[in-house]
Amino acid sequence: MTNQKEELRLQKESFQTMAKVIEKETIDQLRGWKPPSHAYILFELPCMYGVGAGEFRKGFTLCTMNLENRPEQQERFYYLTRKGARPIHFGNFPRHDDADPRRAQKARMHTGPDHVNPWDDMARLVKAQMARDGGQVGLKEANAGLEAKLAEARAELENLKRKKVTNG
Amino acid sequence: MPVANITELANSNTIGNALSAVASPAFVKGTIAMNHLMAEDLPQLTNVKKFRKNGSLTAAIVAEATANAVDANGELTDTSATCTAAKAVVVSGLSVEEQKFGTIDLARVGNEQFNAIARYVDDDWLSQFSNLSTVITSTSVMTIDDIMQGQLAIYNAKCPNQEVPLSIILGPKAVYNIKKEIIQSGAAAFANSAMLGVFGGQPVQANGLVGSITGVGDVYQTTGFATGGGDDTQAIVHPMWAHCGIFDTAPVSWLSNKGSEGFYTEVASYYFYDIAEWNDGAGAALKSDS
Repeated sequence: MTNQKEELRLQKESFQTMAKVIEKETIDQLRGWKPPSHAYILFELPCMYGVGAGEFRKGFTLCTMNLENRPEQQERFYYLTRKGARPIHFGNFPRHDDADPRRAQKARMHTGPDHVNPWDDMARLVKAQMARDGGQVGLKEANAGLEAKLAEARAELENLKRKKVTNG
Repeated sequence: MPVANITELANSNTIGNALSAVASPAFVKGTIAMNHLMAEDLPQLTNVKKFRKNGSLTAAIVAEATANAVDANGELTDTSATCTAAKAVVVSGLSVEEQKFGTIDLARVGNEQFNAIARYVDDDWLSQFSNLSTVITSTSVMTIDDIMQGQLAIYNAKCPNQEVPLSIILGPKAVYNIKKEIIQSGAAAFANSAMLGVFGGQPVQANGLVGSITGVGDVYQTTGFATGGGDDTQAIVHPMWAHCGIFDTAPVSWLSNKGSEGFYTEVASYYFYDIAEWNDGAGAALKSDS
C-alpha cells in the first residue's frame, strides 16, 4: 500500500514481540500494530502476495488467533505451525489473579477439576514453539550476516580488480 | 443482594407510554457463513471429525522392457483437516417482574441467544481468512482486479470444481468501491447489462448476496473481519473446498427457575460446532482499507 495513511503507519515504531523478528516485511507490518483487546496469539505467516498482472511473490503476513472465549485451540495452533506460521507474540490471556475481576472470573470458569487454567496451557505450548523456532531464527540471522559479509567481500574484490585494471 | 445482569423490567419498553407497532431490530451484523463452507453433522460418540483430503499419484514413462519399481510416485497419501466440536454458549436471566409486566418474554430471549450464537460462529469463520497463505493486498481500496488475482490464485492451485462460482466475502467499504469502480468505468459497461451483475437488483439480500461479478464469482457483504495495518482481511473462497465445519442440528436451550437466587428464570443456550481451514489453496485473503 502506498497511500498517505500507510506512509504514516510506516513511520511508527515496530511493535516489540516476544520472539525475535528478522524479516523486514514483518517488522514493517508490526509498525503501528495495535494488539487486540481479546486473548490472542500473533503469528508470522509465510504467504504469496499477488503483485498484479497475475504475478505472485513470496512474503510474510501477520495473522492472529483469537483465544478469548475458546482457549483450547491446540489443533488450530498446530495446523498453522504446519503451514509454516511462527508464533511471535501472545497476550491478554485471562489469569486467575487477573487485575480485572471479570477476566479472573473467566479464567476460573474455564478451569477444570485439575485446576489448570487452559490459557496457561496454551501459553506453555506457544512458548515451547517459540523456543523451537528460536534456533531456526538464530541460524537464519547468522546466515544473513554471513551472506552480507560475503557480499561485502565480493564488492571489495570487484573494487580491487577494477583498480588493478585501471592501474595496469 | 440483587443478582447482576438479570434482564429486569427496567431493561424493556414498558407501557407507561404507548408503544410503536414495530420495534427496530438490533443493529448487529448478519450471518452468512453456512453457504460458503462444507458443513457436516456433529459426529456421534466423539467430538472430533477429520475432513479427508485425497492425495494423488504421478505417472511416468518407462522404456520398453524396463522395470519400474514401487516409488514415491506410486505412494498414495491422504491427509485431513480436523474439526473439534466446541460449544458456544449464552446464559441470560429474566426477572419474574419482566415476565409478568414487561415486553421481553422467554421466547424473545431464546431467539436473541440463538442470533448471538450464529454471529459468534460467523465471526469464527471470518477470523480464519487471515490464515490463508495467499494474500492480495489492495494498493488502497478494493478493486475488481484484486478480486480477479484472488480467483487466479485459486485456479493456479488447481482447485477442483471450477464450474462453481467463487464466494467473494467483502465488507461494505470494499463493496462500495467495487460498485464505484463499475459506475466510473465508463458508459460501455453500463451499456452491457452482463457487467452490472454486482448490483444484483436489490442492495443486499438476506444471505448477504450483493450480486455477481461476471466470470469471477458472487459477492457477499458482511462485517466483523479481522483487521491489521489499517486493512480488513476479507477473502475469495471456493464454497466447497476452502473451509469445513461440523454443526449441531440446532442450539439447545434450558430454562431453570431461580427462587432463592433472586426470582428470575435462567435461559441457557448452547451450540456445538467447529470450523477449520480444509484446503489453503481454495481461498485467498483480500486485504483492503478498512
